[in-house]
Amino acid sequence: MTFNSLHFTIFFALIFTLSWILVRWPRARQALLLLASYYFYLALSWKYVVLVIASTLVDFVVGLGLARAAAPRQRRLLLALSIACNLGALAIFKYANFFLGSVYDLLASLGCHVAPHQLSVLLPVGISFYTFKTLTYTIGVYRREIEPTRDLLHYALFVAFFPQLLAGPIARAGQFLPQLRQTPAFDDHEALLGLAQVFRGLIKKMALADLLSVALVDPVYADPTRYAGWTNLLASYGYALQIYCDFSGYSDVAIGAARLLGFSSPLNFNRPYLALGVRDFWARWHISLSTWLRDYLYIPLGGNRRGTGNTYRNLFLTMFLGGLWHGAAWHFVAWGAFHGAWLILARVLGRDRRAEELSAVARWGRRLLTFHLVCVGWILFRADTLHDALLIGKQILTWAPGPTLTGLHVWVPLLVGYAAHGFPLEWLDGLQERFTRLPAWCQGGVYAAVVVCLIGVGGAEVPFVYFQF
Amino acid sequence: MRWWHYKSLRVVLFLALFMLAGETAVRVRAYLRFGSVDVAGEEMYVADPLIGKTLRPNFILRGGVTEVRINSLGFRGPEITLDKPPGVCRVLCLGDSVLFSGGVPNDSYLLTARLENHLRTLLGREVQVINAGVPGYSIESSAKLYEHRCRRLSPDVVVVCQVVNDLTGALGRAAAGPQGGKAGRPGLGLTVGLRLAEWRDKNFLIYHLVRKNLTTRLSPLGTGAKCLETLPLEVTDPYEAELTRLVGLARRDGCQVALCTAWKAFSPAQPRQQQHELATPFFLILPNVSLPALYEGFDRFNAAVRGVAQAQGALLVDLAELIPPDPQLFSDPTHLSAAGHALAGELLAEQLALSFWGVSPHDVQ
Repeated sequence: MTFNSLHFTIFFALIFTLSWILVRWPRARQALLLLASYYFYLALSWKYVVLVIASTLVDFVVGLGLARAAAPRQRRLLLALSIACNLGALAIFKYANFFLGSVYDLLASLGCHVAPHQLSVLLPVGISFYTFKTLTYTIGVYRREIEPTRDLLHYALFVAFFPQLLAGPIARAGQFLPQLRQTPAFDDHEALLGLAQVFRGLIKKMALADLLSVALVDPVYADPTRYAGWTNLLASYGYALQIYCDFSGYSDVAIGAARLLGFSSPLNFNRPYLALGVRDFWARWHISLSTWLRDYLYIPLGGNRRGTGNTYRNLFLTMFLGGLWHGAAWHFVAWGAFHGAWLILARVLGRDRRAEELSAVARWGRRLLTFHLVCVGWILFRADTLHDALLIGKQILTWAPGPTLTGLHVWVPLLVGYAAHGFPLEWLDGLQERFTRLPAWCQGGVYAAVVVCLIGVGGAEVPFVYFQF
Repeated sequence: MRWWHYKSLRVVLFLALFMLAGETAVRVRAYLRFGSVDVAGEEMYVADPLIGKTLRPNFILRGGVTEVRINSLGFRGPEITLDKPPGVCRVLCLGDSVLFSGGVPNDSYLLTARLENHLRTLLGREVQVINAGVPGYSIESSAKLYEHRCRRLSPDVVVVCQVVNDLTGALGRAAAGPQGGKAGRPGLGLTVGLRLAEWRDKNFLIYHLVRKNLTTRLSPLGTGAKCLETLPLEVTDPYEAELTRLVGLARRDGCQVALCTAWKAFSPAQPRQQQHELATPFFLILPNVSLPALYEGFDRFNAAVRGVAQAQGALLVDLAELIPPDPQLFSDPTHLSAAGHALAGELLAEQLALSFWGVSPHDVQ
């Protein structure tokens, strides 16, 4: 069940209605949302719902243990148990075969041929997201930043809350759990804004990301040498827009759906391709992950507090592991390493001047440079192998001749997508606000037209990019 | 506060009302044009314990542009008697929607009607051609139809024009991979999702209309990295086995058998953009199949028809080679226009007359 399916539309309409009918009975409402969340996960991956429940139980018990334990050693042990369980599951399901494969490759390159053995495990959808979510809880309780919850229902709902379960935003326990202690009231205006955000996300995903994926990005990345250098370049711009629209579209639907159910979620994207540098990019791209990496990896590693060398090491390690988090493949590792190296270089060059201090020309120059370097990173990210990434780079740099891949299917989503991306968030919010003030029949008519168009543009099913992580 | 005091809920209500109004409008249009608002076309069928489903006897679908008549025996076309009238040569044509041709204005434009007229002229005797094409049929259902319904009509000649549904079925299974086949056990979500999709397909005409008119223009179908590019080796095996069985059955009944290859409107000789546009309706039902895979599918299934014809000693009518990929002859990638039916009827009549009766058009002139 994906957000752009009929199944989800009916499921959500039902849960929305029931959850607001049950609003006077908070426990029943929360139980409904938990059951709905498990159904949502069951519908995608029925085998691995046990893993979500196990992860929930372990961290809930660890949280209770941390509340009781006073001795630092005991507390450290409990935290270690939580981290070991969560990262252990991630290691087995996500990385075991990657590491095994890499070891076999290494042995083979040394002339030692061993019959390869692979674990027969499938990657549970969303494991990277809910694992990081649960870790915010145990680490938060360990650091005494948040109070442990004694309510298993609350905690289970925090872990499995369906709008955020599969691909974030990675909500923090300190932000989500307090919302469960309040009795929500149906806010008509919030619901209108939530609905508008859901539609905004669906348009990004189905009308922009999917079209670009099918018309341009997939064919070129499947066989880069078949196409001209400039088509490879266009596909790289296309992928930058595709991944943004796909993931921020997902986040918009997730945030909008949560909003319709009376929950607030953290902002996940803020016009990342207008960033003035790599640090600015990471302050705008997948914000819930980048802040997680900062708070739970970079700072615990020492951050910038232990000298220049250690700061560089910490930056690199954080981005390297961030790359590995995205997927068990060397090209993801290379992507993370690329961003790590870029962050270090930016720090060495000291380009941390405020945007206001720069002239308009300098600002746009830096934006363009940053955007193009981000696109280089996306080539590493999207290519199936490092070799493919190099092939794409070679096609572009040598401006290789060959067939092109253009047409309205390519240009319309590219131009519309980048133009829309440039819209300031305040403008979009203002536009959304003004739209919600239109008469109900008018809004309903616009949404009906959007539904018809989305059915129209829906060709082959393209899964959300971040589902694989 | 009552629920309708909330604007957000009224917005959703209006959204639903607009969709409903759209659905009503397209149904009215469908009724005026085609005489039916039946989305899935189910009203034209009746369940049959042996065959699955057959055409509803005495059913008439009359719209502004088409008239489809099913006779009392459950075949498209005029009334016929169960017993073959003395002195009449009966030709039975088995096939799917390509033969049935629901979009052709009326029975007189059909390939089978044209075939009947031509044969009558060429042979100088009474000929009756029965259109036993049923939309949605595969070779398996056509064989069952022959076995349980058509034998008693005592045909002299059996013509089989049955490829496209078998081809699309095989391509769909190949594109879905082992997970999508019967071997894969669908999860809860997949099962519910498929049922909901089925419900949508059966009940919302607006969905089909939008897909047909907008998706083909807006969405680049048949491309993408996940598209099927080549077919598995054994893709035609079940088709060949069933076609061989059908030929065997007809031969045992003393019939002459002719097998037709499948024609199509697109070909590699056309500009790529045109090929893609002409093939687009295929991509609507097979979104994960590429154009090369579609060509390979047609080639492989037509090769299978040729192989069975040769192995079984049946007459091969290679209409795939004889009907040019001229868009004027087609109403979509495989369904013929009235002009296409006329040409196909003529070509088929000439081949049958020459091979089974030794009469060539030159003899008649």
